[in-house]
Amino acid sequence: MLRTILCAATLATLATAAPTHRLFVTNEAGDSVTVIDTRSGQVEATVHVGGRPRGIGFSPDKSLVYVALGDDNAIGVLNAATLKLERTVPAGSDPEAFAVHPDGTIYLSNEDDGLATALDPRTGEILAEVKVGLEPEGVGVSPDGGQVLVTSESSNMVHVISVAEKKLVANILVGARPREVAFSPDGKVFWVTSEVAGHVSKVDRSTNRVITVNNRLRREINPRVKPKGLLLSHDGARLYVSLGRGNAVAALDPDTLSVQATADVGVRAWGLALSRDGKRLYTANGPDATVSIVDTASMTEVGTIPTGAMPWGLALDD
Amino acid sequence: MRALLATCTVALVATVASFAAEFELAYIGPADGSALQGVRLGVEESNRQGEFLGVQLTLATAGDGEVTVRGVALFADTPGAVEEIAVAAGGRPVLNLSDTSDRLRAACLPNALHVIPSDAMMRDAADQWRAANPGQEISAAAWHHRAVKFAARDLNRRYTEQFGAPMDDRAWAGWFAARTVGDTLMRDPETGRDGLLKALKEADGLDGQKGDAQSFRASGQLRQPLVIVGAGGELLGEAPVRGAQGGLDSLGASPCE
Repeated sequence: MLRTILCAATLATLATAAPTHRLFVTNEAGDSVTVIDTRSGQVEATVHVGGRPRGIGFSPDKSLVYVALGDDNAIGVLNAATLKLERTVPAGSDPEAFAVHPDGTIYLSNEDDGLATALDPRTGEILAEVKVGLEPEGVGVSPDGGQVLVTSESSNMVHVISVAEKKLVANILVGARPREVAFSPDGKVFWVTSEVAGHVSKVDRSTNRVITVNNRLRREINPRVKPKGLLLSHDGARLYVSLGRGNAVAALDPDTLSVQATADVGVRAWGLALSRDGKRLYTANGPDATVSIVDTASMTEVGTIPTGAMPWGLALDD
Repeated sequence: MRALLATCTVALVATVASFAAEFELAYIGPADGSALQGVRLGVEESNRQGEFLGVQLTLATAGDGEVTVRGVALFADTPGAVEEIAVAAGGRPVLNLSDTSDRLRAACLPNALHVIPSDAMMRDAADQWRAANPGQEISAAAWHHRAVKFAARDLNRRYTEQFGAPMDDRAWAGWFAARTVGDTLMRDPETGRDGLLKALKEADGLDGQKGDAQSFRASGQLRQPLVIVGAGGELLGEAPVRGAQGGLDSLGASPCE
């Protein structure tokens, strides 16, 4: 099994298409994806994709952009080069967010049904459904491909699913309304945002226990902070956290979770993306209908780009 | 009512099946009210959470005339009788689901937790809104059945699917009370033996699916955002209004500190 995964991952890497330098933005209330050319900073196209697009991500070879269409109960498949919506794949009720395994399987959360679903987007086959808590959202695949994490927002948990067995192996209580997860590259820890509690927590994967919590973000940054998006810098030195109605993004020390720097961005910053060179961080600002561009060296917003209505998630192909 | 509280038993029973802990909660009030429906949904959702953690909750109900109420926490849909129940409940938390009187908050009862907003909170919310939007005929409420933000959409859907009715203020209060007691017990089942009231009073990140982190004031009143409702019953917005000084504590008084 492991050999198959590694082989698939290697092939996928070899087959990766030349980067398009496009930033893809789901517009939750616009039923569309805004396509931004990051070299010019201009909107290149707005593609209608279907009802309530939220989660977004690439196929392993980056040739396809997958979009969770909550109101259509489907994953939309957008060609990253031609920008054509090639097809939609039924994905169970109300898919919200997902992560793509190196073997090509999409692990997604079905918000209404309290399920995590493993979907093969090439065949449309639903490989497994796993019952999780209420309002599942954030999904992450471990670096070795062996486990999938799913947060349940209203049950305040992170669920740990074995990829080989397609079943739960642990359930971890964290602060109220957990929304996203991110792994360390060595797979030893993961981080999780708790939106209502205002926390970022670090969890030891060998014990599945929370080992560090920063619960001071509202005191140290501003009282409106609601942590949502999570992204580790390519060098592993910074953990970027989008702060929702805190209208800012923070750079945390991934080990201690202390705040290194913050940047003010647009209103209700959720989705995050980081350029390959690590110099530009992008945030999706829902009610503002913009994407902010943040210079990571100075942690300053250096520009904004208009999007469709209520931008939610980001995926960058550079 | 007094007789009803004659016996107080901590109900940490030995496990049957696979659950490591089981706790009994109790509801006192009318058998046909929306508050009870909210409590039932909250218990069910807590048990969904507890499935993964080996903790289960059961609910006992009592109306007038029943002689004993067990339970590690009591949910009271009993306007005018909360103080009497709180005194009789000893150290157990009593979650008030429907009595809005300011006088009850000023009584500083050590074990009463007022989930339903007070009259003063609703007055302040309405005043803030009118000051920002002069002349409008509006009122304040704890909840709105058409609210969608902050996952209110999801909670409204779950309630309506189960009960075929819109979620009202008392239903929300019942749901919140059961979810909050449940979440606290899940995090530390030992509080089911001792310390549940303290743990509830110290919790500072409670999720009412209204956006902000909620917590209890020294008076026992739950800090919470309110909704503003127009003359036709439509949802207009939220309070505290943007820029209100003091955040959630701009709504109502904070006695007992």
